[in-house]
Amino acid sequence: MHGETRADLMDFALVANKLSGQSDEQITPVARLITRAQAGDLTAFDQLMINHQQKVITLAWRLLGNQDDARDAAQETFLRVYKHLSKVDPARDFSGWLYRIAVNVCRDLARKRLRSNQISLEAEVETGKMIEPAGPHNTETRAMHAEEQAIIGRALATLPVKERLAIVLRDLEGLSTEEVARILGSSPVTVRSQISSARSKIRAFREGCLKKRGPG
Amino acid sequence: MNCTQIERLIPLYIGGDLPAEDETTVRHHLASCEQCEMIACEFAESRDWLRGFTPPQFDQPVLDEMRERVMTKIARVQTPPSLLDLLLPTWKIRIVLAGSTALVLLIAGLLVFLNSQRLTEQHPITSKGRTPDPEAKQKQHPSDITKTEPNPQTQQQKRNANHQSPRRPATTEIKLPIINLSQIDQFLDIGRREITFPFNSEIAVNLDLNENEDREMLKIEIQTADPNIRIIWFVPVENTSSAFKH
Repeated sequence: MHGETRADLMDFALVANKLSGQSDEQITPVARLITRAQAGDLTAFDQLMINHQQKVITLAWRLLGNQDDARDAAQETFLRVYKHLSKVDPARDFSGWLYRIAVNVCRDLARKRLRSNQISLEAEVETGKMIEPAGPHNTETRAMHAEEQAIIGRALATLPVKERLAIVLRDLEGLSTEEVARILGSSPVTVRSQISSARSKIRAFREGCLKKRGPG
Repeated sequence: MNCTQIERLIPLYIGGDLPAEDETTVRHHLASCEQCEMIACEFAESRDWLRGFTPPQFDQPVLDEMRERVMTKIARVQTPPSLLDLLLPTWKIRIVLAGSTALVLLIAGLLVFLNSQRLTEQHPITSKGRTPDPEAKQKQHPSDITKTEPNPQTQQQKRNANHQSPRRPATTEIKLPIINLSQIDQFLDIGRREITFPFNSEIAVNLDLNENEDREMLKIEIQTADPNIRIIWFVPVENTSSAFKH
């Protein structure tokens, strides 16, 4: 009985999409999953998570700089997604909405944890928790790479939150300025300003590190 | 545009964030200005350096566990919460401690009260405020018993006597006022023999009504001036009534 209701809702949603001018080919797999999940299909929601989990957890790690926090943030993000799934229009940009939720969750979590990313990253490097996906196999080169990662983490940690969010989304996640503006809820002009400022500070930080290291 | 203005645009230029017109202007300037070209190279290197910030490879079990937790929480949300689930989040350790302490005190108080009630029923101490049984009052002959002023000494003796006497739950004890020894002769005539009292003093007389189902008995208790001597006498109620009628 319950299954029939779900199926009916799913069919209804698909029919509604057709009536609104979208053909079967135009309905993306993500939109199908969203429609099914909205109708209460948990398998579809699980599939949505599988499709987006890497993206969410990576963003969370870049913003929080800690694996455990990143996992917690991803978990909370998907819970919020499920909670507000009924409000999502399957035809619209699900990815942007997901990013927005993830960014808000990371902001909340960062406020809660009162722990600097610099310390987290250093701790991860020291404890060996930080694993590079395609890092060099040589131990010495590997250590140098890990140190470089920690320096970048520190450079990001020096930025104000808004600038950090903007540059991570733009330069590391590869989103357009307009997309970043939508996710952060600000104008493209503001985002450009934040990105410009962030890039200048990152360059200055890197120059400072290079000077400390010396010519060698 | 001069170099200062171009320098401001370089951070956005290297990321392709400038409008087409500004981008062309900067490109033309960089082609002609070596210093600005060097700055642009530094920005580009810095951006590439930042993009080398690669996230760790999250293991599949970690991701599976994360998804599993999400699904568990969703399942919990979907099932209606029990009363305990609703109450638990609001419970705090202080409230729980205060509540349990109050409950223990309440139970202890209740037990003490019940125990004291039970003891009062088992030991009917003839206190000042106690009112005599109306039925027993009716059985008393008003002319036979004369009220006297309560003597503190004799009352103390009376209390001692009551505490020393054996308990008989089936007997209703009626406390009678103290009567004069000179008036007891008529009262003692109920019995079949005369009792001579060596004391010319007040004595306490207690009448106990035995509520035996078979036969009602009247208990006559005489406390002499000597606290160690007490006379107890049981008489059938009918006899007593007739004796009182004399």
